[in-house]
Amino acid sequence: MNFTRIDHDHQTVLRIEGELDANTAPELRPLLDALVAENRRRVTVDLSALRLIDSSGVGALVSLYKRVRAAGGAVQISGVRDQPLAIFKLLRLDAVFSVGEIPAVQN
Amino acid sequence: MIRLAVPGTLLYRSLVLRVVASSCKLVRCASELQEASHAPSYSAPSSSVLEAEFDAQVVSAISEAFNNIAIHGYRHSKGDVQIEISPTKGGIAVCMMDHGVTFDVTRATPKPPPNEPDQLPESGMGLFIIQSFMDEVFYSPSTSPESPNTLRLIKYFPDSGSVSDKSATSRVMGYEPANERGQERARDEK
Repeated sequence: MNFTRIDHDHQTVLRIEGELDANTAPELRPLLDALVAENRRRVTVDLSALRLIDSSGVGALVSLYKRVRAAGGAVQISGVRDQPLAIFKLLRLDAVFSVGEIPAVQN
Repeated sequence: MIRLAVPGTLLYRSLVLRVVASSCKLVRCASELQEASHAPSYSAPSSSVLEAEFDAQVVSAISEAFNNIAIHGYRHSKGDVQIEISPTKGGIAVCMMDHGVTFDVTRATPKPPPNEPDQLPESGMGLFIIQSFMDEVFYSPSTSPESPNTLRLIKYFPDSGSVSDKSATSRVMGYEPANERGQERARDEK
């Protein structure tokens, strides 16, 4: 798994590539904790390059969602497809996260 | 039949799932060839979308099952996971065997996800995923040090006519006594 973070003003785009699962989700936790600690208000998670997700990976994203929302922010997830989309639909996350096209970072 | 034995650790997750994904395609091709040989006019309805969805669901279920074995089954010990993938009438069967801690099925109460986003769980969705995506789920606990815990998962192809009720709440994880499992496997292999 690889991930990159791009900040622009109050927006953060977090791009996750590869597999987000029980093996790799712990590697992402420190970054997710940092986003919450820094009080990032608008977070977009770009999953267009994510091939595989399991319940552990979903748990990490749900945790981010809850904590950012609790601080008054919002999390959107974009680019979900293939196996991750099957999981999102089953767990009804496609409606929660407004899964859709990857938004451009606003100037 | 495709057989794979790997150490029961998360490091081997990726390998297992790649084998499972490829096996889905192989089993489907074999099934279509068999149908065509029995009925020369048979033309398999092909839908890459349906096939991709089928494969994604099988991979998802096996992913969660493997996690459970590696994380919970082998939490106090080390051991292998043996995986057998074979065609079954109208679908695919995946058997996963381990010698770790036996799963307590009586505590298995998979729940559908809540409607409220703030109530979304951060863990514990694995069983729900397995039972939602697979058509039949059987678990045989180990009865002796030599016999493994065995999880048998079956998913039927969309056009097989063997699709059971998809409701996770109506599909109960069943126990399959070892002797019946052996007889059924013998029938499948004929």
